[in-house]
Amino acid sequence: MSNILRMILSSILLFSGILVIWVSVFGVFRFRFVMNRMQSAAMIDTLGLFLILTGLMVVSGELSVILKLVLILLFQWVGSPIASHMVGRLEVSVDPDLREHVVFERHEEDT
Amino acid sequence: MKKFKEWLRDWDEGTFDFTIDTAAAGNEESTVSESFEKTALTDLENREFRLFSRAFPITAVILASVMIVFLLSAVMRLPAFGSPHTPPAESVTIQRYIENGLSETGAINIVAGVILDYRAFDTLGESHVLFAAAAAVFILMASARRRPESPRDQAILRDDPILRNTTKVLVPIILLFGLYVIFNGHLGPGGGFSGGSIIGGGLIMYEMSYGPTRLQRVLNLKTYKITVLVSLLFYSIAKCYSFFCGANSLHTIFGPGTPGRIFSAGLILPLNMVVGIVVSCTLYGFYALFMREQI
Repeated sequence: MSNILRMILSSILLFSGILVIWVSVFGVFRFRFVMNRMQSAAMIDTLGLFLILTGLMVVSGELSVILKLVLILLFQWVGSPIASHMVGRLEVSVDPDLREHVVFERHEEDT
Repeated sequence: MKKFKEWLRDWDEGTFDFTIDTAAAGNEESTVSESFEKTALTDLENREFRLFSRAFPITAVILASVMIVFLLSAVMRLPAFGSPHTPPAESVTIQRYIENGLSETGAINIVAGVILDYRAFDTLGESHVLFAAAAAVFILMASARRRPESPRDQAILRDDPILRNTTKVLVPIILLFGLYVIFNGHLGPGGGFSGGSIIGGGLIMYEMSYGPTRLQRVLNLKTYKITVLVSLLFYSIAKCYSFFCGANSLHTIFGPGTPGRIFSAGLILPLNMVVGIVVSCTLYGFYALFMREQI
């Protein structure tokens, strides 16, 4: 019984992860502006990876495998948003047509 | 050099000029806006471009499907996992490696025993190929004059607190993991090439976020040359010694030891370290030479 429950749970997680990744890949090719593409690509490394790895954790059920997968998840969650941040920052720095796409909101401490 | 915030404020006030502050970059006056000028396409070019953009995805899908069919049919023909009738399992050499590898080399990881003991000359050649590639890139790319860092790169990429703080946390972990992979090479999956690549990646990440000056205190051209040359020399001499002793059935000072200990498996651990040094230095050297034409 618990095995069947585990398989159902893990397949739900894995398929939703695949769905998220599919939608993100579609967005990367469909969007025209860099920031939208960057956000769409960042979804793969955060939400998609989280769902897939959680599904794999549920499948395996061994503590050592779960800990390794948690480490991979942490590493990706620290590293991948930095890459997106750098892409966005480069775009803000060099694109002269930025104002057509983006509205700036200023905070008090920035000015 | 303008800071990122200043750029953004100029941008907000509409006083942003795309002329880059070229005080440090010499007399070359370059503007970003030049590269963004829309070039007018002629009609012929336009039609060709449209034809290309229509034909490209179709061709790509067809090629990808053909490749997928070929690769999947190759996968279907592979022997089952653990089957006794695979071509390597029926070869005499592989059987000897599998049966006597642990007792003769002392390495639990049989692959490490094969590539660094039985067939160490192959790995020696690979390390020398890496060194020759680095030397060729050095001959082609290296310039004697010190090129100042362009202020644009600094403003855009370097002066970033988010990147720097993440690097501060991540790079020690990456380097430690690379060392673990190298030192674990004879006990499990790992070895000099993979660990060296990990360390090289960590060094490149550090250089990207902090700039070259900090790393050059440890790794400059002189230390690069000395470490790589000493590593390759040690590899050659050690393997010459061990092959000479092995061919003449002499007693070597590098025995197999107790399998499972970290100081075991004879020469495999030092050779892994040496290969790791060569690989990490070569990776970082490639990056540095292509980025700014000097190490």
